[in-house]
Amino acid sequence: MDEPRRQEFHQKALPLLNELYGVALRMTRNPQAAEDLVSEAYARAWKSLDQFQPGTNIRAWLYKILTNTYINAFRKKHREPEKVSMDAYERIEDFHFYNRIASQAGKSPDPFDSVVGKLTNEQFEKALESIPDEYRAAVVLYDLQGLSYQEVSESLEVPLGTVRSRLSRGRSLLQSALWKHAEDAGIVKHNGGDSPRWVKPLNYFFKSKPGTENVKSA
Amino acid sequence: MSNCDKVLHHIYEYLNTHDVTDALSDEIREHLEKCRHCYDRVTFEKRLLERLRRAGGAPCPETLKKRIETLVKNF
Repeated sequence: MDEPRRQEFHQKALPLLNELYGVALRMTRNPQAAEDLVSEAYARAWKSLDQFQPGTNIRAWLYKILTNTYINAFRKKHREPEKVSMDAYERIEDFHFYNRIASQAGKSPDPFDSVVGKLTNEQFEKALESIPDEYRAAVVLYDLQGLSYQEVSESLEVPLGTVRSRLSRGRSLLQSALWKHAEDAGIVKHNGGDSPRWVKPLNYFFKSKPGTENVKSA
Repeated sequence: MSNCDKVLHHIYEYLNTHDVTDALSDEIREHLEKCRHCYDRVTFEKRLLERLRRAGGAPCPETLKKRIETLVKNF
């Protein structure tokens, strides 16, 4: 291993550890699995350092390795990806959360403070966890970590069109889950009979319980 | 497509900043200065994403830091 590359790895890859751990935690929903995943990803990055072009985007490169590692470990465990009922999805409009808040909190001076500001970290994380893995990964990488479509496409090993549709569905599912949490916490009113049927059982979307799957080092 | 529809169509690309041309980004910014409806919506989505980012602030455990530092040192 030549010294300049070693230095570059030290200076640029190691400071991203916190960030990558956070993403791994959101993907695996399990602290031990997240540790194993990050450790495995760094080991792979370190071993294939000669494939990294110095001066190019090391962050995107590490995300790609992390996500590929996750997907490959995940695919070994699950033959079939989790599927969201398209019927359930079709019932969710774009900007669901904002629209629902706007329709209820018309008189509120700031719907953000009066609703979003009252949700806890745990409620946000639970809402994010409730989205099926492939949709959550797209939302985390694009909307939260700011990768480009191309980078997300390479990370998840799917075409650009699939990235866009996963983002769209993921956001809708996330927003409806956030609304559900706000309802359950009494922050907003239950809409009673107006509430679409899919809002009730979020577990409906899962084949297995979240958090029970471990990602093992490959 | 009206200006409002166009803004809402590209709202997440605009917030992400990749995948929008400078021209489109400028066009959206100009529209947001004039249209309160779109401004409120974009601001809401922006703040919602910022809030979500902050919600998952678990720091990397020390054990993992040590694992990786050892890996890099010994290889």
